[in-house]
Amino acid sequence: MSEHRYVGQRCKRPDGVAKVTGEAKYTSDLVLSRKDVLIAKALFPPYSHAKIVRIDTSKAKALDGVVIVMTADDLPGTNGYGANLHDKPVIAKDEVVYEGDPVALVAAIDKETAEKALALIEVEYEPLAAYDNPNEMLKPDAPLIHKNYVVPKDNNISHSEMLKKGDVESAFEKADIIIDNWYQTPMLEHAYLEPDAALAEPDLIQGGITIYSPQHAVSLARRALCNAFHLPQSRIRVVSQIVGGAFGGKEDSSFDVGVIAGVLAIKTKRPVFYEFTRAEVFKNTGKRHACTIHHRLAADKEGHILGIQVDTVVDKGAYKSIDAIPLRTAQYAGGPYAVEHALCHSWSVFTNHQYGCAFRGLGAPQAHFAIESQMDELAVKLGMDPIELRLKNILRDGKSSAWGQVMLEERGIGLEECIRRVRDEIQWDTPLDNANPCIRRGRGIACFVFGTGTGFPVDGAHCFVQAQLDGSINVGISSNELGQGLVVAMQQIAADAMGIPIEKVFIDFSDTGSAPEAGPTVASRTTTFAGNAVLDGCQKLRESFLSVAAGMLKSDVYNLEIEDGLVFQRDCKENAITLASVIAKAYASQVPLAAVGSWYPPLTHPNAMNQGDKMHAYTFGAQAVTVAVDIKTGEITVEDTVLACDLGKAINPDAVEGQMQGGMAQGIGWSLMEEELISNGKLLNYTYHDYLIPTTMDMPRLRTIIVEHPNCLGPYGAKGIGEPPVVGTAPAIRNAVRDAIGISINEIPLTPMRVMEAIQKKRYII
Amino acid sequence: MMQVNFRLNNQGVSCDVDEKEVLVDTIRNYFGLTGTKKACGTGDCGACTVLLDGTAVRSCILLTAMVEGHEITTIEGIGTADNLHPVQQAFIDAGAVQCGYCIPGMVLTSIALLNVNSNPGEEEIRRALSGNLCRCSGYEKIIQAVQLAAVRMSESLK
Amino acid sequence: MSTRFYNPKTLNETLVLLERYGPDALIVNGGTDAVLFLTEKKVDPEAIIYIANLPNFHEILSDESSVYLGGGVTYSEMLANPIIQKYQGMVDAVMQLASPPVRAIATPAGNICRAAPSADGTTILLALRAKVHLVSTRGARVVELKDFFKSIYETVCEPNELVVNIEIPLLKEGEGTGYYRLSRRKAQDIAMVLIGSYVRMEGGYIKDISISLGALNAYVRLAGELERAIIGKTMEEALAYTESVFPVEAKLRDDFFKEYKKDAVCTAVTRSVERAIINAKGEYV
Repeated sequence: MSEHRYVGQRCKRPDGVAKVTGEAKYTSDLVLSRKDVLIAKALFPPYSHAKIVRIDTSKAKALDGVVIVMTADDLPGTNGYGANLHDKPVIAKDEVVYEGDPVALVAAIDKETAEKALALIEVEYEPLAAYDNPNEMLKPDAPLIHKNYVVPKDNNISHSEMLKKGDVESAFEKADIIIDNWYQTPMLEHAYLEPDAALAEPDLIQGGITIYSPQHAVSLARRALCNAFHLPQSRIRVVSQIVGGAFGGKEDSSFDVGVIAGVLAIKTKRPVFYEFTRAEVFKNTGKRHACTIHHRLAADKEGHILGIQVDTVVDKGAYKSIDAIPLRTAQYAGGPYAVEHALCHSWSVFTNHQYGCAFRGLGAPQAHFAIESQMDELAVKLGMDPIELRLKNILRDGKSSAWGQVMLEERGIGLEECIRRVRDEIQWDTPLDNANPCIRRGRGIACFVFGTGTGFPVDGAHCFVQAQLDGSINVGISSNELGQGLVVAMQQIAADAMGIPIEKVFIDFSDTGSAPEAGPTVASRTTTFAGNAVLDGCQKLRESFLSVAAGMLKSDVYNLEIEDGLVFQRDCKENAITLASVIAKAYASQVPLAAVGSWYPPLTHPNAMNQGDKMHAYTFGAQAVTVAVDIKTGEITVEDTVLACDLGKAINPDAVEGQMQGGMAQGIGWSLMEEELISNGKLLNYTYHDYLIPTTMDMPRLRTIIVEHPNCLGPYGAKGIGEPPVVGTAPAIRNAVRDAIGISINEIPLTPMRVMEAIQKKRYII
Repeated sequence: MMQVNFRLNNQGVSCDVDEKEVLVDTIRNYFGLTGTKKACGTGDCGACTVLLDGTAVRSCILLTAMVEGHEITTIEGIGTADNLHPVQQAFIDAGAVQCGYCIPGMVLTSIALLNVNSNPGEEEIRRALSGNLCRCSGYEKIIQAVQLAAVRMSESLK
Repeated sequence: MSTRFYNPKTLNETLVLLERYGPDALIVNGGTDAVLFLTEKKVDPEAIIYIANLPNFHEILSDESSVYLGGGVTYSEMLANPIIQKYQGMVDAVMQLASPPVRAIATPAGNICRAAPSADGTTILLALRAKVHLVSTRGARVVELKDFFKSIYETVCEPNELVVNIEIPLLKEGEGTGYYRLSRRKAQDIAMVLIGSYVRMEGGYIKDISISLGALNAYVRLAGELERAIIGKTMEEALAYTESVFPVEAKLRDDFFKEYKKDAVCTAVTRSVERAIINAKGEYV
């Protein structure tokens, strides 16, 4: 494959300089110099479930410097918002169902006044029983978490999915071996360093509002907030600055601050700013869903998977938010393997605590924790090497997954290469040092599949590409710069597509005012979908400019090339003009200088049994880990790890490695130390010293291998890379620990406490 | 309210603050310098790192009143877009910057390290940065950036 | 309520302020605990007395029998001091506590006054049988660290008193210190188990031993029974004993970590004592 000037190169990100000098402005930096902005605060309940008996805001209202105090009766629109259903109240009226439901809002001239006002609001609560176990809440006689839900409901199931393929009953009857286990994964915090914040600026010209907020989806924000604001979607402008970390959390949590700042701005007609404290981020915003998975795997004695039967209970928390986890946990219950028979049920179930939302992997990590642990158990049962077992079962060209999609080589299937290269890098066959009787070493592997895109029947992206008369271009794309390298990747794609220097490409990103809908910056879809849309827009402009140039150069349009901003004839390079002069001619000839770029994956047809094509292409990967377990203290050290991902094409290898390392790091945190502890619906660990994420001392060298099996539908062959790197880490570590100490621990994180309990009892029961 | 006099990025400054105000708030609100971030407010993450007489400290658990007479360096005092410090350049060249929120703290802590130890090993770099949390990178390219900066800074002395 | 901030330049000035404000004063040195109480509104003092600028407070002095850590000495200053560098247990404790930016300004004096159950500085100091030198306008007194704590977060230090020195023995040949700590991550974590130890060896036998237990009680305590039981033993005998006998002074409360501590404490004690003995032989782990 010939090298491109930019795509595939380690181009430096343009936002790097401003970030290392500290000049880069995040949302909360925008308000510091302003004198006209009101500061918002919300009063949150001390209970996770309670009736609001009485609320008296009179003393707060009377405080000097307080501009407004709002309760549920003062709202400008519907008392509901959300990413899907508008089921989350802007202000709780009669009842709070988790400790993040606001009961009153304040806007004041400064933070101190707003905080003083909060303390003056008197609320009488009647505490109610709080339920935080979704397995209990799934039972038919369980009390209802929502007695008056926005859609009529007589149970606590927010959403359920079933996946059915073949005949699972007979598969299990024929099986030589059945592996039957329970797995438990915890609720997790995204722990992005930038707290959620929103500046709401009323538009006094046309009557509307602009919300500045770190986001995943500026277009979705309009739909999520329009009813609460009582505004048509066109009058809500949403702008996201660069984002200080998100990982899926800011897809919905940004609405929690945005709706509060917005309703206050609408009522006061003044700009209003709200930034959650870190404790509020912990206690209010969305989380990774905790999952309880009952996984049954049927196999023959040669190690071929015959069928799977999997039930997953997803802890939804108090509100619907992003509710795709039942679908994903059902889809990926069979992992990256050819599975002929499958029966998978998943339910997301309401409870009285923080809601689950999107978090890197969206259910695939939980599902893979189960299936990849099962595969190791099967390997142990058969006395087979875990890698050999996997190679017998992995998806290949022409094989069908548990969700009934036949894999196509042309969309890129690099799983075998990932497994083999990781095996070599980790030196899988080299004996480990087990001389010290207290320290047991072990190796583990996990492999995975992860689709690019949301997999909904309709998924697509649009962008604007506009040429300027000086030969530079603007690309308007609504996707967000979360730190993953959106801006540099789109610059690279556009520059190569147009044949201009990268310095002449400017990306107008994440502003509904400058771009049409590209879909949310999630599902590892942005490089592929937005990239393809950018390619489409650039190609449209390129075609029309080359037609103009053909006239100017008196050449055949098919004989023309653009390179470095110069249009020339391939077989006669002296016959050339600048792209800028072509554009000027186009402008004078009433040829449009702007185009809409669009891309849709092939349409999919949802099937009631969740069988059929979902995403158009899949990223595959394998991760191997070496651990050392101190069997006297339960401490685990990850000594070495290697991750290989087949992502089709690395548009920017620096950025790709960054995603791979970052995903592994989050996986290590999830495996060893991260879990949110709930008691009676209340979050117990809401600081960075009680909720632990890995430090430099906890991290080994994170070794990465980029594998490229191109996706014929992707831009330059690309597939997604944002999420896949977190998917295999936890089972790889769990499997390595099993290899080290001979005990299967099926609940994470593997804290010293869990490990010691397992060692003392020689087993671990969930 | 009280007056506090200190040096900020090589300049003598004076501010009127509440006795209980923490330095990160003064830096951001009074002096308008936004590079120092307040990510947790409990002294756990390092995004608020500044140099106090050349030593990396957490400005969210330091009272402004405590820095009377001292030298405070924020990220703005390190380099500019046209004149980057070698550590800043190394962070860019190593691809260590993702969302950027931890980066000012990482840069300052790295500079403080290299000022006392010009050739740190990997373990020493990890230990020096162990108080700075990053959620994006797994620290891999950040450590490579510090190693790159150390090499370049030694070479420029030759 | 508005708070006054004092930045006294002499010890006398400080003591007069403490006499005047008593319990309504918040003493701030490194501030890594104290400032957090302020920002989280756990305290609202009439006066903040900032003692980091007191003269001689950052000195580490020694005479023929003792080392004196001044009331403002930071953990970083301890690590940089050649006398302290010989106390392997102290070095290990300091290197593992909190994080580098906290170690740069936090003080062991602050740590003992905070009297938290999980306290690294306190734990190693207690194993060294430290003595706390207190001063007020009414005079001076010395309290042994083992008698310094009344209960969780409560010490015998009166509101008008200031810690001016922490005295530890000057280590001689045949003496060593050790430290072992169990936490959930490898940096910046409040520990679940902290064990400090000091030992004096003679001819291969333990002549004197002190073992301190951190995070296992309302406050840091000495494991007196274990100490008495292993006097006179060889290293092998002593470690076999500590491996199997749970320190009775560890009164674990019913919390999340209780079972773990029961399972892991003996290992931590054994490893701490082992390091102290190796250190006593002039070696470092």
